[in-house]
Amino acid sequence: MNCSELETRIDPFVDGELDEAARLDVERHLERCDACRAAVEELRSLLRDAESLPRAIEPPRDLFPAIRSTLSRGGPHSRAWLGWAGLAASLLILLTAAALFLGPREAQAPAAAESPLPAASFATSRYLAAEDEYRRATEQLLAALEERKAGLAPETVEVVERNLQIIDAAIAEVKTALDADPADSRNGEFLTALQRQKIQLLRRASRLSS
Amino acid sequence: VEAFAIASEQGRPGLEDEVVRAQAGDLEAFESIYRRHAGRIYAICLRMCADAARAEDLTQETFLRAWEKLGSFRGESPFAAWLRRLTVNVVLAERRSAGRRRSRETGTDDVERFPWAPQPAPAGAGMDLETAISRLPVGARRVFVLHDVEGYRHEEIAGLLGVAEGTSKTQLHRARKLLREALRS
Repeated sequence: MNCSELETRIDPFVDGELDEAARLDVERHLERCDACRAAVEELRSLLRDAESLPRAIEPPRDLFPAIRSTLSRGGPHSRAWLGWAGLAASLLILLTAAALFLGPREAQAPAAAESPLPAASFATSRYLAAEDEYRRATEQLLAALEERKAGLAPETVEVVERNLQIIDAAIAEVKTALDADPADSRNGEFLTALQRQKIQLLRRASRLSS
Repeated sequence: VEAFAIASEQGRPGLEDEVVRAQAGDLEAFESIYRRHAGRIYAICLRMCADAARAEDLTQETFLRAWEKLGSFRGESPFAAWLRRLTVNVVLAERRSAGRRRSRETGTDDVERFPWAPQPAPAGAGMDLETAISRLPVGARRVFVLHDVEGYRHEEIAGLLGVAEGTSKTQLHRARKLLREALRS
């Protein structure tokens, strides 16, 4: 190996990415070349300095008032509207997945009913542990939305209420499936996803009306 | 609540609760998250774009996006890692989508025009390196910051930037070489 070849291997060598043979090749060259040894040490020093750079640099001014202002502005031209399409699309995907999942399961229900209930899956346990939190958050957002409903366009209220009905119906259906089969982790996962969609929908509606 | 944040935030009790409350629309909780993470997010933006004013804009944009996307945070990774990834995506998306802003970008990808201006009086060894990083060509700077400062692997960087892994390695080699030269002079 000569110095030019070492230059092309200096990064993988220092990063420990060379195989044994290539690494030994580099080390043999370094033993007899002061310049390349210095170059390797220089690179290692650079990497140590890079790693020790401060993780945080405080912004020169407080940016949160501007963030709060944007989030609170609301209205049909606010950035909140940008999220409606994405929310609707993800809700559709979620509901389609739930429908595909629930469809074949109903056919299996009689057989499952004859067996004792298996233990709850991890996903189901996590969902049940968080269920009260979801309920509280949802109630607060619904109350806030009810207070501010007058500030929303009637068609927006209609969209929000229709989507809430769809989500609630899906939640009820998956809950029935969960009661029948708590061991199936998909039940817990779907319920968690549906509750989050509901909260996201309500949050977006609250922002529009504030 | 475990469902939202399984991973511990390494000695920062209360963050999971803040995230859960912010997910439920609590702006005060979201402000706490901002206070806790703004410095970290601003540092990433500043190092990647090398422009203090744009770094402020990108920090704000990151938190606005975080507010909108909080519902998708499932606690599969620590919240700080989720937010850091979001930050990198915001910085890169801004670069990709706003060609009009390209003229404001500090640095150039043309090595021949690499601007080694005299450095200001250093306030410590870290300051020297920060300045040198800020003067790197855009592509090399981003890969260096992601790999050697933020600890991303080439595979991840290639995915984030939409380039081949080999391109990421080439840019890193270029960045390290230029930095070694700059810090030597």
